[in-house]
Amino acid sequence: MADNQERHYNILKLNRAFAISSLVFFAVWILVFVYDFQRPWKKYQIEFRKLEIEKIRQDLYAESAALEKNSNYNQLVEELSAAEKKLTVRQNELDEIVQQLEILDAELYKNNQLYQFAKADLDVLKYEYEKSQFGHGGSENAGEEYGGLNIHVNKYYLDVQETESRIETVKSQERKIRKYIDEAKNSLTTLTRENSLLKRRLTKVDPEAMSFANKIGNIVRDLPVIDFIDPYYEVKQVVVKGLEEDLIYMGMPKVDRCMTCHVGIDKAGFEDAPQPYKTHPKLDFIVGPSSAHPLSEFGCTSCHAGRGRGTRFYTTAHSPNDQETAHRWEKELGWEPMHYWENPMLPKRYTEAGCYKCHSGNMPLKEAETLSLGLSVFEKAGCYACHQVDRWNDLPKPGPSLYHLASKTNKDWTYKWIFEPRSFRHNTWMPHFFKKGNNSDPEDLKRTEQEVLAMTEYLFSTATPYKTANVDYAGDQEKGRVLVNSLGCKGCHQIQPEPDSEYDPSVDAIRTEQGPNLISLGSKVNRQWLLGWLKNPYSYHPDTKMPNLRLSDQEAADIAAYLLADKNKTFDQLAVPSVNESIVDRISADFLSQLLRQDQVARRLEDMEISEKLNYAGEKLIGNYGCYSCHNIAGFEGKKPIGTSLNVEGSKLISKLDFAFWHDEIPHTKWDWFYAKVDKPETFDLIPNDDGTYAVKELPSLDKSRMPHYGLTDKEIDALVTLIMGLVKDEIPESKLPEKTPAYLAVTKGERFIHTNNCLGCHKIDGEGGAIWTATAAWLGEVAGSENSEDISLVQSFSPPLLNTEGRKVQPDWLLDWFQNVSMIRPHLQVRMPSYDFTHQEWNGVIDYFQSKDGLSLTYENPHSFSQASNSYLAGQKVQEEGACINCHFYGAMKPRQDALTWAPNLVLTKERLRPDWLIEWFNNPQSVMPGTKMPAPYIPVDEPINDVIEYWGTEVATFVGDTTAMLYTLVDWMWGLEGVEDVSAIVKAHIESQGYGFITEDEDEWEDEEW
Amino acid sequence: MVWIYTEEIVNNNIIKILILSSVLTFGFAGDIQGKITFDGKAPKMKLLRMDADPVCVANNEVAPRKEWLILDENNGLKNVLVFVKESSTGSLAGDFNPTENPAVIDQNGCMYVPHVLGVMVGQKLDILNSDGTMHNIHALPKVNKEFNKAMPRSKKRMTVQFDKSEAPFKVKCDVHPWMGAFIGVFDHPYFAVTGDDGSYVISGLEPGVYVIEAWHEKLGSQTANVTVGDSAANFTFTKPKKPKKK
Repeated sequence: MADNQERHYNILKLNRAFAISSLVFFAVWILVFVYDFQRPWKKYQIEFRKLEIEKIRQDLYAESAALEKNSNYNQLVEELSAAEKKLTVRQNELDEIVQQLEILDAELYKNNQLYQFAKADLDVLKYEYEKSQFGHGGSENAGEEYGGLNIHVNKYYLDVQETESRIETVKSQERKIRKYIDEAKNSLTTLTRENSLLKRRLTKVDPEAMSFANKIGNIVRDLPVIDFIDPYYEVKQVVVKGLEEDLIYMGMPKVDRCMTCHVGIDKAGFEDAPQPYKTHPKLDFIVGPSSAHPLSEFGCTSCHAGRGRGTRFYTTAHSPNDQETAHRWEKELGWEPMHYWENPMLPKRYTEAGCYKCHSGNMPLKEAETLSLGLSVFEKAGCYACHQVDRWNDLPKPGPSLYHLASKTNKDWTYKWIFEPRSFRHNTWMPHFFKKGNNSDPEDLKRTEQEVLAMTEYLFSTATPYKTANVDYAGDQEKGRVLVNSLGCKGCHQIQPEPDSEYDPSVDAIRTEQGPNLISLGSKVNRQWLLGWLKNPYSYHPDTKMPNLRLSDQEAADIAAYLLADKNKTFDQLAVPSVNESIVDRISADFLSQLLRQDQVARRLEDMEISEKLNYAGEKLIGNYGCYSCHNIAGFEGKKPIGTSLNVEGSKLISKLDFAFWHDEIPHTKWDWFYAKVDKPETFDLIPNDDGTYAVKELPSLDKSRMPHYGLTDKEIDALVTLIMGLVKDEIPESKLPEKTPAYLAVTKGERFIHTNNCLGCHKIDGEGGAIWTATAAWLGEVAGSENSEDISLVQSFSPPLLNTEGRKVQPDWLLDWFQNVSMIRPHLQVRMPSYDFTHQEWNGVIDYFQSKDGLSLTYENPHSFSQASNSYLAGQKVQEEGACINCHFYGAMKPRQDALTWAPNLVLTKERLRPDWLIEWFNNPQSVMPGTKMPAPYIPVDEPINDVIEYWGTEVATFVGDTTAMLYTLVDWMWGLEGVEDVSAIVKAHIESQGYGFITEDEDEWEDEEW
Repeated sequence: MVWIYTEEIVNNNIIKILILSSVLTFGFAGDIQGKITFDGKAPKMKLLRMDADPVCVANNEVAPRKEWLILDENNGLKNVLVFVKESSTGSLAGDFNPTENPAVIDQNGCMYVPHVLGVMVGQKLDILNSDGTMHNIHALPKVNKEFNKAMPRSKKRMTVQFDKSEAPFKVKCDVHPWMGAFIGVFDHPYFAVTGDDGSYVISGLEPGVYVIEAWHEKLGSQTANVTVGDSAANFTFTKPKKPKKK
């Protein structure tokens, strides 16, 4: 038998191995705890706690010091202690009072009882007495008894009353003292509230300020193992309700843990702290609990993108803003791009992309300057014409119509323009299709020259004539110059012969580029076309944004003379190559061979005349380059645009972006790819060399990248990339979006309409816009000297009016009528409100925008009623007389007393034009409604002694003393009664022609010295 | 007077001397004064056309002229606002309560009197209308709040004040466009406007060195470091460079 004790292993050895392995196991277990305990975010929280303690201590110190200095505080403390002393002294008194009260209560009860009993007795006696009176028996002396008792009862009654009043006195004494103490305490609490708040905050974070028990708790709560219960240092997170992370095949609720390290993000006071402790830079707008986007509802990655669940620097998918930061992060934080997360955090320069997914309706977007610029550039450059984005679906093509091109310019100009637009106009928005990196070698140049010739040929052969009325006025250049500078042309156009080296693109700067830079027109357009266009742009191109300025024939001729005088000699001298049939054949063959066999192509070409070939190639090329996306071109009606749709471009997977040969040169991010694509669209047709130069890929002509070059500045490209990164497919629940109230919809729709039609090129609304002001200043400088052009209030008064409060201001039916039949309102203005051919629905949209913005809804209002016999009307007459409104305002045909420089609207128009309620708002403080206006607040004697008012202003005005609104309404009544001529334009014209504006100018000869 | 040298009197005097010397060493409020002149040939001020308002014409015995450069026979320049810009080693600390006395600007003959004026933050500024015509007083500050108030002929006085210090800004009348004045607002009382002879005095300054600025509406401004008690802090203005024509 085998020995039981026999083992195949040595127990001792085994025990040893077991002991060792359990020790190892234990050590690992400990290490796991240690590792788990030392999570990297913890050190940030510990560091931030120190910062916070220091900050609160400092605040508390400052607050306490301020309190000590505050004489109010010291006085209150003294008063309170005095009052409390008084209270202790009075305590006995008070006790006594309370005792007294008890006694009095008893006495009251007793007296009341006695009184009630006596009253009952009295009633009995009364009955007895009355019975005896009518001989129904009863007591003989009931009368006497009754009388006696009655006196008694009255006495008890008085006793009760007296007791009650004594009680009331004592009680009121007590109340007084208590009230005094309460008041003192209250005002002290108000003063010290901040102080005690800080103290309370400090006791939560600062161990030194804690009670002993809390101090222990503070240590224990964060001990290993038990720190799961209620630790101070913990992963903080926000679950963003309704939003999901798109994980390709599934969605996961969005959870953001960023604030685990960015501990100070929602706490004011850490603006200057180092990262990750900094306060959010726009706390009142985003993140702050009372802001429109509180942290608890929106989290962080809903706007910034990134991986919200991460709690380490790498796993959160941070994105550096520049290479320098990237290198620093690599070194200090072990950062590397996180390839496995499709939506890494947007780098700082593109942060505003996050705004677009919810606020795509507005223009501009408040607090999002870069994104707004992106929207502005995208629309101005006409990106939407080739790349569909729903927001711009309703817009007409961004470029001019080419239907009647032959009536506007000539073939040579057209050829040179298409080949290199910026050689004619340095800042044109027409992009360069040629002379790019991928089509500039000598062979390419030869071919593209012939391509442009072919396209030109097609455009001219398909053009139909533009018939204009024959205007045969001789124009005066000088008058034309003044007109261009003063009529308002410069709200949309510049005249800028040389590039501006300091050009800083902005939404406002682009407003003056609504129309082309009006240089060298003498080299481009023919006079007859220009006259017709100036007189009525819609007659040439019904979809043009250029409005009708109601120019007279003479004005149009003057402006044409001025604009045509400027020529570009260098451009004029550029040579136009002659047609090279063999190249044209090759081009045509490239297109023909898409459909035909080689031999068929050859035969077709043999059958074609050269002009046919040019036309054929031209048409195909226009289709190929997509010219028709931006311009109306015959034969391309209804064709789809050639670019990819960008509706959800920001959500495109990065794997779908072809970095071609540029993996090492362009950082592997979507935004860097977009930047390269916009900056130099042909980049991916090129192959970079090590020395910074590049080679061109071997590509057939028709396969080359066709996206043209816009010559944008870095700032503009960054803005466009911001917008593209914002075009995402994220599904946002309604609860997170701005509420789609009718007012919101009207305002956003109006904002876009106003932007597209460049209303803010001339007008300012709530401080935004007014691009024309610089032109007004230049005009003023010319007619009235630098002194006047530097006077910003004068510049404002000669610029198109501010449209603040326009919805509250004007009667909507008047406004609609006026939009459609513009007439003079401000007699001193040279600048002219143009006539637009908007439909009445479009105008209604504008009116709805103004009204919704001002909190009104489109409602009918009763006309203002008044009587010319009323005190109010008569008083109004006196107020206007004293206020001398006639100094500046027309009263019908009656001219203002002062020079034209000061003139203001005809008051006869007011009753049809303005709303009475707004007039009161306006009269109360014109400067708060329209900052900078020359209108003074009318003086009304509301605060003066009534006798003075009667004496000076008359009894009617005196009726309204003390009531500002009623007094101001007297002016409304008076204006509603004012009758007279509405149209004063002829009077104005005659006056300004004969007497000028009366500017106070500084003449050159004021210094007798001739040098001045 | 005969002095009886009792010990007491000697002691008293010693104390007085001690006090006096310490005051002299540590500070006695002092003045900065000087004269502003214009170097060069002055232009003749142009006549103002006021016929738009007959009241204005009637209120002027002498035909009124522009006021932007007024010199006396020694080229002393009137209407220069001289003020302490900052202290170099002197003291500008402390809260200065505005003086009780209101500053005054009058609309007289459809001109502002004075033409240049300094006021303190919070100081009352009485605006008078001596003309008996309708004026509007339109202040165009950048820091303070803009206001534009009508003053009909019956309104003889109106009071305003400014809440923040601000470099001189224009005040104008939109009804009478030739009317213009300039107001500077200071958070201390150390400013003065030169009189007819171009001289000014800023008094009550703690000893030390101050940066003084002399500001003129058209000739620009100049600064200098000035020690309190120095003989005179004079400034000379010249014709400004010809502005570039476009």
